[in-house]
Amino acid sequence: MSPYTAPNSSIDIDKKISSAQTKSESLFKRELTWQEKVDNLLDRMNELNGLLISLHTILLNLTIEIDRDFNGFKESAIATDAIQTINTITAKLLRKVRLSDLYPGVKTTYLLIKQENNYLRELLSDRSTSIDLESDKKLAEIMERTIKAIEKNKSLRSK
Amino acid sequence: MTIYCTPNFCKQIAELAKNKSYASVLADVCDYFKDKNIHELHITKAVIRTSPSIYSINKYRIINSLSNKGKSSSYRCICGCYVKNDLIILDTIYPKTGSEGIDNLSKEQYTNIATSIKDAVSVNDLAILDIGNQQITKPAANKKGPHF
Repeated sequence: MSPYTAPNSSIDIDKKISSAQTKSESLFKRELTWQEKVDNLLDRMNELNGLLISLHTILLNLTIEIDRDFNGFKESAIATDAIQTINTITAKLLRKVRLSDLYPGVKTTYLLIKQENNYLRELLSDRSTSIDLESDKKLAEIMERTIKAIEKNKSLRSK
Repeated sequence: MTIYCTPNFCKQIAELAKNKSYASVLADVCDYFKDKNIHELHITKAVIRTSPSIYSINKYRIINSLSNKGKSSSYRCICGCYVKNDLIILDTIYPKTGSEGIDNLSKEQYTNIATSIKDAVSVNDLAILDIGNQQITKPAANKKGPHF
C-alpha cells in the first residue's frame, strides 16, 4: 500500500505559506537593519558633533587669549609652533569631516571651526607682519612724527 | 576717551554703509568702543607699538550685527592708540568676508595707515566719533575734510 500523500494543492499552499513567512521575516529583518543603520549614523553624528564643539571651544579660547596678549604670543616661539601645528591638524581634520558621511549632521559646527581656524591663521600672519614692522625704521619714524603732531595739535592736547 | 576718525575712515564707513550687508557698520563700531577704555584698547592686539609704549597701531575685530557668521569673519578696524592724551584715531575698516571682504593687510598697507594717521593729525583733519548719537561729526574749529 502506498503511503498517503496530500493532494498537490495542499502542498502548494504549505509552500506558499512557508515562502511568505520567510519573505516576511526577511523584510522585517531588513527594516530593522535599516533602522539600526539610521540610529547608528545619528549616534556617530552626535558623538562627532560633541567632539567638534569641544574643539571649537578650545580654538575660541585660544584666539581670545592671543588677542588679549598679542605681544606675549609674538615673543613666544613655542606658542607659535604649537598654534601652527593646531592650525594644520584642524585644517586636515576639517577636510576629513567634509568628506565623511557624517558631514550633514555636523555642518554648523564644522563652519564655526573653519572660521576660527581661519582667524588663527590670520593671527599667525599678523604675528609675522608685526615682527617685520618692528624692524621697519620708516614706520618707527612715522610713528614718532605722529606723537609729535599729537603733542603739537592744540585741539587734541586739550582733550 | 575721545575717538577720532581720519578722512580715510569716514570715506570707508560711508562706502560700506551703502551695502545692505554692512548697513549697520557705524552702529557696530560705536557698540564696540562704548564700554572700553584707552588702556584696554592699547593692549588689545597691538600690531606695532613705540618704545616706550605710549602709541600703538592696533587691530580690532568688530562684529557685524547684520551677519550671523560670528566674530572671526567680522570687520577689522585698524587705529592708532595714544594713551597719554586718552585718544584713539580710527583709520581703516574693512569686512573680512562677503562681497567687499579683504584678506590680511601687508606690511606696506600698515605703513600707509600709519602715514594716513600722521597726515590727518598734522593738518588737523579729524572728525569725532559720537558714540551716544552713533554719528561722526566735525569739531566746530575744524571744517576741513569730509563730513559724514
